[in-house]
Amino acid sequence: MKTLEDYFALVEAHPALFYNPPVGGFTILLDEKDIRQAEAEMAQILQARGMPTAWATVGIVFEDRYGFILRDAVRFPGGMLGTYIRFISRFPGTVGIVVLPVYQGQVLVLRRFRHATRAWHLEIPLGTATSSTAGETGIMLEKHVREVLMRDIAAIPSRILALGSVDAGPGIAADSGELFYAELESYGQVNANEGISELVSLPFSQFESMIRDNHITDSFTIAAFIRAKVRNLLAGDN
Amino acid sequence: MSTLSEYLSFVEQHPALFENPASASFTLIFEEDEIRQIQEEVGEKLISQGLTAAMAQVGIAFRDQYLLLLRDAVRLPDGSVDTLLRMVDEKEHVPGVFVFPVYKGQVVLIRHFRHELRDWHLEIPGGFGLAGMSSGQSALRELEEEIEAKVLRLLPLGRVHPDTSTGADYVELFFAEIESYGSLELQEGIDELLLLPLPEFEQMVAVGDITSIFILVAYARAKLQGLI
Repeated sequence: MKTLEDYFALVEAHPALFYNPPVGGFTILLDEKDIRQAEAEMAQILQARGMPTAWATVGIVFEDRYGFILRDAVRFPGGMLGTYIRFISRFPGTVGIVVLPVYQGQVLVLRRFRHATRAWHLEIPLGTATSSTAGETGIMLEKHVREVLMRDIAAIPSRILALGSVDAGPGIAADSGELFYAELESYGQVNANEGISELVSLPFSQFESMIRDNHITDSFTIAAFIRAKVRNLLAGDN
Repeated sequence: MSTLSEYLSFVEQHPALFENPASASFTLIFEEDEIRQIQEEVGEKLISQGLTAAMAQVGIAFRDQYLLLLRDAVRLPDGSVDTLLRMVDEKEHVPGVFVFPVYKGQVVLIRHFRHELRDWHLEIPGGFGLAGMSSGQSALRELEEEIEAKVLRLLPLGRVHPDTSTGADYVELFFAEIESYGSLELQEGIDELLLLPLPEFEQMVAVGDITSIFILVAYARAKLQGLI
């Protein structure tokens, strides 16, 4: 746990992370007296629930090679004070790169082991674009699409189309992803070190049934599917 | 950050979180000497990157009333080792819920302030599930709390994993036909309700104006089930 001074140094270095819109939202409190008040009110709630009051302490509460967790003091729209945690990436602007690969009219889906779930999932290739490339759009992101396809399934695309952005839904991280559709010229071995054991080739209709019937539950795979579907990219079934 | 012995007790108390399924790609390591060796190896690598050895320490990496993070020692398929972070639920996971509401043939979206983004986003009603309550009951509760909706018909749209790379949590999705709605839950940062005719909504999906992953997935499932 770092001190409140470290937190204020972060506020000073990255003011955009602490932006308060003129009206509404959850207002971040940066005055030390207000912070102490919010901590005290949250500590009372925690104590009543039999939880440690240290969980109300504002600051940089966790640090890792990937980023930080901040616990901010906030005023909610109804006027109540409290604390709110969020994850801040060490690489601001990092985005997920999600690619829906199609080879000879069939969707290619990976069978991938995920450490976080300790289970196997059916997913499409996914990687990240690093901070040095943050802010890139459209054609510039295509090189990351090529890298992800090469890394996961040794594939070479013949056509890449951007399907737009997604955000990961309410949570603690400001994660976002860029979705792509890629027609492949060829593909090769799957990358076992990325947890991939198998490549499954699915006709569009079967891909749709697997999404409909809960055999595919990965949010990014389904989001890429629906964006491709509404653009009629998966229309010609076989 | 916990000690290694606290982590190993946690492993013993929560075996379901530490399974090594057949042919698992990332094998969890529980042998104390081996964990220490992996911590040291990864720690040296992190120091060479200007980070700290503490960031390789295996254990309960962070815990508060909202979040529990573990850092495990693992062996990768090529034989190399690493320490990997993941979000877990200590108690049995109660899935969150999100509901795709339709009112008189129009899609209902809400404008919601998101603390982690410091901005408003278009979303559908949803939130945490509560222990002792079914996901369907939680969906009805969220519709009532967030937009005071009275529901005619609630149908399950299945399960979705928001991000398999960081957490094991999943969310249950629903489709709801509502007969009315009322005041918005300002306390939760919801300040506007939008009614969108289906063609307009689909156009917003196509051009990328709707970015919420739960809206996109719920819409995909509802469309594939012939509900829209």
